[in-house]
Amino acid sequence: MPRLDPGIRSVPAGFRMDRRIKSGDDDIKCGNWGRQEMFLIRCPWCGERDVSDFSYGGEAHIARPTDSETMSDSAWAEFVFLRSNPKGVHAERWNHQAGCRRWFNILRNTATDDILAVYKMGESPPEVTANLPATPSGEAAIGSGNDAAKILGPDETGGATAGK
Amino acid sequence: MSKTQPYRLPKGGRIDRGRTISFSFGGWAFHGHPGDTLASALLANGQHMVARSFKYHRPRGILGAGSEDPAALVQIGDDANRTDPNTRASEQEIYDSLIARAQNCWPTLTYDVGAMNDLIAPFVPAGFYYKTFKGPLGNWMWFEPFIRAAAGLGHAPSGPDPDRYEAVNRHCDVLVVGGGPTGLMAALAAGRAGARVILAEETAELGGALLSRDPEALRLNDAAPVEWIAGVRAELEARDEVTILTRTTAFGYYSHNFVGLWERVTDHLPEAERPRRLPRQRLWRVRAKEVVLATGAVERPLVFHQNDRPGIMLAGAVRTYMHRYGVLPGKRIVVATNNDSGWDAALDMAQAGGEVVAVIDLRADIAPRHLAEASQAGIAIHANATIVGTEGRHRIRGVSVRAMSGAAASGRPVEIACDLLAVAGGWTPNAALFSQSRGKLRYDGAIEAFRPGRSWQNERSAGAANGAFAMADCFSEGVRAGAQAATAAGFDASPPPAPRIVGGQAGQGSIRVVPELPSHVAPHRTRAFVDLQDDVTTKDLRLAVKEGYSSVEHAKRYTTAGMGTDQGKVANLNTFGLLASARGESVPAIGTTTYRQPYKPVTIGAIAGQHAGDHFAPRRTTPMHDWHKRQGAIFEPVGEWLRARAYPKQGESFEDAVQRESKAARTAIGVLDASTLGKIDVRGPDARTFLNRVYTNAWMKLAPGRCRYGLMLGEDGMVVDDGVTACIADDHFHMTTTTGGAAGVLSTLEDYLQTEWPDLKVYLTTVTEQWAVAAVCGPQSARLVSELCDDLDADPAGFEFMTWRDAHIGGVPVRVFSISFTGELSYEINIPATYGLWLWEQVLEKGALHGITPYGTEAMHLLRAEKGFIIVGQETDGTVTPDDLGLGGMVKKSADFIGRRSLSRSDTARTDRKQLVGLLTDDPNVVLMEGAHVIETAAESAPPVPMLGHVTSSYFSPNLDRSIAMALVKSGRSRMGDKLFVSRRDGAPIPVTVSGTDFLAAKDSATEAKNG
Ligand SMILES: [Zn+2]
Repeated sequence: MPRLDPGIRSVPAGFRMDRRIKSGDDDIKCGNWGRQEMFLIRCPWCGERDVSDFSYGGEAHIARPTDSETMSDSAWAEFVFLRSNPKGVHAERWNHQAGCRRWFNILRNTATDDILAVYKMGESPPEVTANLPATPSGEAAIGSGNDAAKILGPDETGGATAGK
Repeated sequence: MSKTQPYRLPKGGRIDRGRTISFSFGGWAFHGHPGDTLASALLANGQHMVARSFKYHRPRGILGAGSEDPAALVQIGDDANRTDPNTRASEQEIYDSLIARAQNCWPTLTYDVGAMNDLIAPFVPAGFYYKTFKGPLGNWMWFEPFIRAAAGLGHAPSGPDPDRYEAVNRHCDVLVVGGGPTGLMAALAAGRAGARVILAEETAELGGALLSRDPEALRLNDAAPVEWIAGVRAELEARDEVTILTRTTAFGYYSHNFVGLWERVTDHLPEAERPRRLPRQRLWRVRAKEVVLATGAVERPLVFHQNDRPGIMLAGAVRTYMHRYGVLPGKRIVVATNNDSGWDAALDMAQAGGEVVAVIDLRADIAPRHLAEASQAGIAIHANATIVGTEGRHRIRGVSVRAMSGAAASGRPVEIACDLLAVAGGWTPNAALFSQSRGKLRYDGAIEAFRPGRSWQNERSAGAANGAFAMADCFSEGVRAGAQAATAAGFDASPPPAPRIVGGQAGQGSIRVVPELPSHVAPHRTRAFVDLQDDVTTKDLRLAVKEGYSSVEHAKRYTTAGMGTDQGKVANLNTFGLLASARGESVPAIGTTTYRQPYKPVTIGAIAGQHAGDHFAPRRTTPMHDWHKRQGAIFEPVGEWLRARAYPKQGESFEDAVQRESKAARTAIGVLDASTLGKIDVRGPDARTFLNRVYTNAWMKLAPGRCRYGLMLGEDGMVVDDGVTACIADDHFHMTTTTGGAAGVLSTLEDYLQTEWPDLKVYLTTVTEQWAVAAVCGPQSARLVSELCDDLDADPAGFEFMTWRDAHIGGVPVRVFSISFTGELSYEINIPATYGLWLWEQVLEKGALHGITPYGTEAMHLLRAEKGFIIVGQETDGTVTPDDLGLGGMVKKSADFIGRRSLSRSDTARTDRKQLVGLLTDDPNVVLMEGAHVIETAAESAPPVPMLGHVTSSYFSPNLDRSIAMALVKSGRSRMGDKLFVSRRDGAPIPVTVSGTDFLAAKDSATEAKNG
């Protein structure tokens, strides 16, 4: 049976997914590090468009195996059925369905919905800084909307309001 | 009622005294002035009680003066299709002939049967609903009818909404929420920097708290407050980049500075005067680079025994009624406070002519200024005192006051007669939007309240919303916030100076928060309300803690505190305080409940906007649609399409029409509008390779001019789509998909092309709407097609099955496909869509000689079932493989395709999967129900009944003169001829015999056997 070339869904050779994310400095002011709008997605070809233009395509960088005939059932099932579901940075595919119809990749912090990077198919995920879950309950220190992040602790400092 | 409005002040207020408006409340006529709210007009008439509470039906009065009011809810309008329940009397502006009614009471406001609930209150404790649900089933059954009848907040409109609504999308640099002193300065600062600004004010007029101050006593830049406000408004209006929205509530702060605004455009006008060009309400979907939250502060009531009587109002609200509406809601007034703002309010009321008989302060240390001013005004002073009870049924008549010693009531009670009790329990920064934006709150001990702590999104809170209650601080924080926001949005800001203030207001000063005012009443007899809408008392909250529901989120749900339509705007902090004291902890230690959108109830109409009626979902129709309509077709939605389901004749039932149409298509000739089939134009040198990878069968050798049926799988090996693809040229194919699956198939194919096989040179174009399709079917169809076409002999001898030809009809180029979805001789004529209706009419005109019958999708379904052809989505449900359908022969061995590897997974390859078979009922007239379960035994065993599968398609076939059905049955193909049973709801299981799925072939071979 003929083998297919690996597509550009995969991560380029030599790149390891687990090295790309740096945990953020918790005190970084929000909105100051090139954060993009969740409700405006920056299509790499068209620019910023409303999220309703786009459709979600699941986890990115899962290449279709080219040697499926020699794979075990469980290895194949891993490709078909199993996806990571992190609370934190997630590389995922989006399609500009109501626009240019192009597929591309996004790095999104699932704890806060921040879009940390947008990059084309075939490109490596850029290194990003994210406000990752840090507390014992697994909450981001701010922004996740859950109980643990509602009130400033005694040792936390404020910021960004026009306070006294 | 008289026109005198006995509680109207002789002068002042932002009302038009030159005009008198007549409106009705609870069937009585009242009078007010333009500029009044329903609440201010009712108060001017001395009407405090306007509603009854939700649970106990206790009399409820007007507590607040704006959106914070918890319980003065009324029903507006008596047009069954145009009535609004749960409208706050304090927000509804009055107009001529406005009709309002009290809610939660029957038969009248003052005599209410449901008030019986109040008498059984001891039996309706905290968590009543939960306990009833958790208890024996019978409890709920017994209580339910009573609760249903007694509960409920107003009633919903009963018919379609006759009004029009609009949605507006806007981007701006700076969104300022709140048009009070802070918001005005913020908008001015951002506007002068050149930023695109939206200023949203909830009420009818800009000014906020400035309108609640004595205009004689306040000067801003030497001008009266309203003049100063008018000046600011004029400057903002003169700026092209500034939009001012009044009667507009920011109700939701969503991710990434997306804010929903709700504008009431014409609700304040009499129905006859609402301009038809304007929508009733608008939803503004604003994406703001920066947001300034200048949403002010909400005053808290005090929590004491019998604190829920009409005539007990927030002190700040009384000042608003005095100065904004020219109403002093009482003649003999007592003020109870725990901070300085109550004293300012008391003085204000005295100066407006009210007889303020006493100020009760929880604090022992009171600023000498207040003591001096009060005694000068002849006000009795009760410092370090508590309220231990009140009197009056439908309106307060008196207050009982005692001294406090430590945290207990002591001394002899002093009874004070009054008709208005103004309470000042301290101010809570209105941080609802801030919290929705996921900012972190900070507990500020100086004001004993939460205020914005750390922002998460690009917003900043300022003024009272930020805990700065003094007027001067509001102005300066507004300037700073507006300038900061403009700078952050990329503008050079030169902040305007804050106005010079004469007679401004200080903050609330020191505050002594007592979660529940002490009294001599035994705790179990205390009726001290924390949430006036949901009837939650301190006793309920203490009980919740005692029973273990001590977390704020649990206690909220267990008691329903803060769960009403007001979301506990005035109640929440008092709730937290009470829970904290019951737990012996501090308020910041127990935390806060979550603020959620919407800030206040928004009409469904506004949210739906234009997406109502025909605009609810886009409907696609074919070029022949008008013809179908003229013929009285019954339509069905298929995906986004509307398809003709059948064409009943005059007096003919739907079922009869389907039988007639199905019969005609096999005995003479039928025609189906097949235009909705998905069509994808596949081009490029690698088109063939591509098809070979996306379909299970082989495509490398399909010659131009030929067609092939293909099955498409997901990577999980399950069938997702099917259709016939024609080879136009070596590098050009015409693919068809299911009607509903077209968009998804195109998207999936694009995905593979762009991301998995970018090396393939293939281009996909959707051409579904470029071609109209008439499918003619029946023994006479070849003759008709030949007659229709200028240049095609359709005789199957020369025009082979599964091939296609270019031809012309009346000179118009067409593609004719000799393919069949019925098993009958059949042709699909594709014509450029603009000729679709013309083609259809040609077919019917020329077909008339052959007795042509148009048939709809239901006959099409029936006809294909007679032949055993599947419909993806009917025979398949995402768990069905080609082999399950008996189509294993369509799976090639030679090359990879989407889903191939999954077909050999152990679960997919096992032989006892559910397989598609035919089912023939013993009684040919019994038609099985689609979806019914197939079981093995004549009687159902005890549950769980072992299930073999289910019926996927079932019809009465006019051509076979019996019922037919297909079903997915476990190991179905090895059960041929077996007797099985199909369960049904009311009756014994129906006996059936397992058969093949090609019912026509079975009939033919049976006929042959008989004849042979
Ligand atoms: Zn695009």
